[in-house]
Amino acid sequence: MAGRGKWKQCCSKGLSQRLEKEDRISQLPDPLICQILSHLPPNENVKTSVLSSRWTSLWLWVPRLELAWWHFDNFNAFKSFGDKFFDSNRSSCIEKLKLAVKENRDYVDDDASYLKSWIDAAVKRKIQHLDVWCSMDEMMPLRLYNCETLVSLKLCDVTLDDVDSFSLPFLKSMQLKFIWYRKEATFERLVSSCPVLEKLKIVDRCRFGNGKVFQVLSRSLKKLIILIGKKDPKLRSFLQDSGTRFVIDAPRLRFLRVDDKLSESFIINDMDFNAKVDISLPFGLDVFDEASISSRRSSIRSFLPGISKVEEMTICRHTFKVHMTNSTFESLLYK
Amino acid sequence: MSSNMIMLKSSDGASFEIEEAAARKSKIIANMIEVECVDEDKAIPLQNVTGNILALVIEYCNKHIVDDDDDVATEEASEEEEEAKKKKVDDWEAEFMNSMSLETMFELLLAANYLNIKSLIDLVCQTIANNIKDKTPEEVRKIFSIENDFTPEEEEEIRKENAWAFG
Repeated sequence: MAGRGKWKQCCSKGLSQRLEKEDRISQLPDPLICQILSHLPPNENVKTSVLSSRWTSLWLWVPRLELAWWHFDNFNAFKSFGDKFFDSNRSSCIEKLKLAVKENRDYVDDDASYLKSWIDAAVKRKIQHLDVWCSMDEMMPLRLYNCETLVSLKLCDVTLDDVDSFSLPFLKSMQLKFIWYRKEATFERLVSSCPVLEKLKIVDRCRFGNGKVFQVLSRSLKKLIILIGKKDPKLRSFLQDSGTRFVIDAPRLRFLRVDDKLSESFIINDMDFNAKVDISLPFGLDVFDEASISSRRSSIRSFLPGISKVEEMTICRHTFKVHMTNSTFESLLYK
Repeated sequence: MSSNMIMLKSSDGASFEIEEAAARKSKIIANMIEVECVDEDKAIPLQNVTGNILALVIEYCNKHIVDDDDDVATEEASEEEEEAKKKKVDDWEAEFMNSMSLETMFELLLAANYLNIKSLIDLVCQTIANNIKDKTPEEVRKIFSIENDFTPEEEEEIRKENAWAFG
């Protein structure tokens, strides 16, 4: 410390001019500095630790963090940052967390248990907005299924285990992309255990361990977006064989957008009368000749009543064609 | 929607009239209104906010009343519409923060914190963070007049601890 005093003394003259301007930022209360830091990527964040003694550990307390592998030179730096940040002794709230994890083939102990412990820590620290982007079907920790603070959840390329009870009492918005559900019922249970869920987005293929039906049962859901392409030919054959189906039962649904190249059946049992719908649904067909279309006749017939009373409808060319050929659309129009 | 007007008074005695809906962006004022602490004829005194800063806060709140009202509309909006709306707000905010001095930003941040206006705290923090981003620690110290109280050895030690970040 004596060394520091001496160093300070000899520098103080040079500094005095610069310090005519006040150091307003260091005078801010800790939570505000942490708020500022939470707008920076992790490497920029850590760099502030060297500004002055006031800043040494503030970066560890940021309420929001985007922790993505691409911010780091190597996996070890990524993991050691995460382990430090999610230290189990720290209890400050984490409001928002975006995690992007890449499979690491060089890492010997690659069971990705670190990811579970990080998410566990975030749940303990009252996470409200969580966005997890994996590239390895990682299993989500059970604690996440009973998170009392979560408001929005985005999951990509993860596995959801089959559990008896989900409890996400405050979840309002959920996005599910490339999810592996251990059981068919997992999806249904997840959606219907969110009593205030308003927005649900399902992007690209969600896979079931077995089973084929997506049941969207929700009394609170207002907006549903389903975007399922057919980009991956390998995946597609697997899924086409599986012939997935959607069943929508959401009395308060006011906005429905479906762009689904794969599902063979789509049944809307209930939604708001004033709903706006935007449909592009070829019922899993590639070819629109009469024979193919007839093969979907019953699917099409059970789909139409669901949208017959909506306020505003946008329908894509192919979907229209399917209906025209099936000559059920006319009857719908003049109903 | 109620268009009740309420009065706010800055620490330096300037009075401002503001729509109740706009003033409610501040959790503190919203609470005062809830518990009926607000006397219709009297201005709410804000001890920690000067007139020039309060004017900025009010400008921000007035601009953002609409956003809250739009909640219902958002439910039916397509993603494109949502994005377009967000861009409009972002453009306004960029313009609002543009050319504001750091000094004013700190005042505005403290005011937003005192009044508890979360979205304004976020906006100002983001703008201050932009002044830190992509700069060396030396440059950051200079911009914000932060005194380096480390010995070169201490500084070296910290850099070593997280060497990956200093690349």
